Amino acid sequence: MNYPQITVFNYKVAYYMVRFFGLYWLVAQYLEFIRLKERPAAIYEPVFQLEKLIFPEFPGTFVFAGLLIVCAALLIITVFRSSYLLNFFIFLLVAIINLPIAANFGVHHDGHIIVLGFFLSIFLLPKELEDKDYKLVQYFYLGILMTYTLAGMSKILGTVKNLIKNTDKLTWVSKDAAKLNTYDNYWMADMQIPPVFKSIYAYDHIWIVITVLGILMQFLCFLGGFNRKLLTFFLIFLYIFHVYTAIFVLAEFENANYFLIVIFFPYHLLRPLFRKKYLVA
Amino acid sequence: MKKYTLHLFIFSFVMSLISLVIMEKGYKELYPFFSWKLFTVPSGGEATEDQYKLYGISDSDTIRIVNKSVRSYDANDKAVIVGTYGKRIEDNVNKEENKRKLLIFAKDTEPQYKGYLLYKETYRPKEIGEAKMNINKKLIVKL
Repeated sequence: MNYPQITVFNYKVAYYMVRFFGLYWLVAQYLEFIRLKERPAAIYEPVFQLEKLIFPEFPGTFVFAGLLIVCAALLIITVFRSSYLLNFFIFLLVAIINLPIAANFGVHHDGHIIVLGFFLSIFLLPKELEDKDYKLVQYFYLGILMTYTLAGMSKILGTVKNLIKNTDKLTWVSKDAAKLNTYDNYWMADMQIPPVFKSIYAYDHIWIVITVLGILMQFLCFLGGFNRKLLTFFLIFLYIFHVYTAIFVLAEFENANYFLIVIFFPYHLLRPLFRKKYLVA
Repeated sequence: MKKYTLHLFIFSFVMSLISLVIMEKGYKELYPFFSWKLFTVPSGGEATEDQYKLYGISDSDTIRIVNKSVRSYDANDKAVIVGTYGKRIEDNVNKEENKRKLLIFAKDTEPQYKGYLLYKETYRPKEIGEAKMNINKKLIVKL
């Protein structure tokens, strides 16, 4: 298969995998919902204006479960009957369901990539895609990857700005930047810093190199949208990056990480396995 | 219809860029096209940082409440909740309402105390993990 064929093939497989992932995500949101529901009703602070309109109070179990069930039904229907309109409603529901869970007091970004994924794929139905449409799949990839590119870019701009202005702020290229970033997040959460971190961060010069490379890689993520091997490479990078932030910065991106695997996985590599099976049968 | 994927991409990209710019000015991101938790400088990058903390009053003592993860709040959530209400109380934004809510939170998570004090602590991130850490405490309010 050439690149356009591989790209369209992988998207078609991902389309179905995303639907199964979506069902898992809805269950995860329900578990998160019942956890938050145990708090006193007053302890709920919607972040966004739109959210204050939709959910001025933390939603009741019937309302929230109703949204989840409708969304699950649409996900299942679109496995058999793909449709632009249903895709649009799935995006809308996912964005709404994410609100009271993710934007309560602070904003958790674990659901961001998932909401964005459903948005960017509204017009991408497997039955409508031909090999020459690989560019459309690239826009889908780019839209997701751009999140990371922007995050890398803002770190680069922030660093340059502080260096030029010569502020007393610590920048990402300073010694111990990564260490302080970790320590401060642990401090704010009142969590004990694991003793092993001290030895890990003892290699302070190596950490400057790791940090700079990490930020550059984040910035370069958009390249994955144009080349299949690079996409796999950046998928692995993002996986490691998210595991690092979960352990060292206490920023949980578990579902985002699963979602990235589902949409960027090189399914075409598995194709020979299935072919063989069919031949034997 | 499929060709409009390009427009969706451009739309989401522009919205993220706008989010990036307006967040710099202190506005909120444009849901659901919000940007990442961006960290233009590392957390702990400022010379000093502020944090709101609850202290519990018992019969003989005042105890600094350390956030522990429990089922309905993890330690991080607790810090953000105290931080949100603490800042509003100090800035006199709906002060009574936010005091009331913070008290509900304190009683829900640490019911063993007779009363609660809200402090603002100022610390130097560079001293975290050192043997001696200087923390400047300022009493904001008694709940």
